[in-house]
Amino acid sequence: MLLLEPQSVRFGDVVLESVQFISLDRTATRFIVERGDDGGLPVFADAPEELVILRVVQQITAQELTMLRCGRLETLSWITASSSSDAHRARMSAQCVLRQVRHEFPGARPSPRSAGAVTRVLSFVALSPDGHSEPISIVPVDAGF
Amino acid sequence: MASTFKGINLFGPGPHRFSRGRRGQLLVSDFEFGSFTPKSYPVGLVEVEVTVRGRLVAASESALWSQRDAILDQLTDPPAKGLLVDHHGHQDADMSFVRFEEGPGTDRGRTWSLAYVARFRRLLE
Repeated sequence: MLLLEPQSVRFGDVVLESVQFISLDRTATRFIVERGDDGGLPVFADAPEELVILRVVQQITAQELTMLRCGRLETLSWITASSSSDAHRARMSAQCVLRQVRHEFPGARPSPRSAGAVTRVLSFVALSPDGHSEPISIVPVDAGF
Repeated sequence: MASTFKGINLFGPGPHRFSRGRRGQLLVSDFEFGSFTPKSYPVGLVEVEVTVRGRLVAASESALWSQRDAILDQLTDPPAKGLLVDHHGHQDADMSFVRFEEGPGTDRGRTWSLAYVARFRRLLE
């Protein structure tokens, strides 16, 4: 899942500005493949363990002094829409643990002139409330919210 | 075709495979009798052992327990002999179901599943 230009992105009480997109990746951290006695092709596969990774990509346009520590647990929330209008807006949220904070620079070395092109990538692991339910909550938002 | 033990499709519908243990003579070393020689004595042919390795697959936790219980019901004392038939119709008569070992835990994904190893042996009398 890729969400372009989400609005009102927050991680707990921290407002994340200038978010370009949020990506949602899923990886099976345990994957079962079973074969029978009739041939070499799998007859059963399942993913009993999964990791949901959210990445928030921000464009950094000014000096950034927000201290975010790995392991912090907060609700990550944002509002998204299928178009630039207010139609079909939804508030998405998940309990997340911050896994990584990384800055990406367009050139070989960061410089004040290239500051506008710097991006910050925040990587989160989304938590399920009970180990089975979907960690991402999607609630429609009325127009004019 | 489905595999069976005593005519029961015990391990279906989950995937499972049959394999056979070692065959041949049980050898006892002369050294074990206190002699310093490399000689060994053949005692007789070892018992036939068939191993079934597979995975129980169910749509719910309770359905998985039902499958597990149906298998455990066949573990009796003393063991009751029965006909073991593999997927290809190969038959092993007078087999006793002697051991059932579960994997590290129930896997809960799209399905509820559990890896296992079941051992059957033709016990000599």
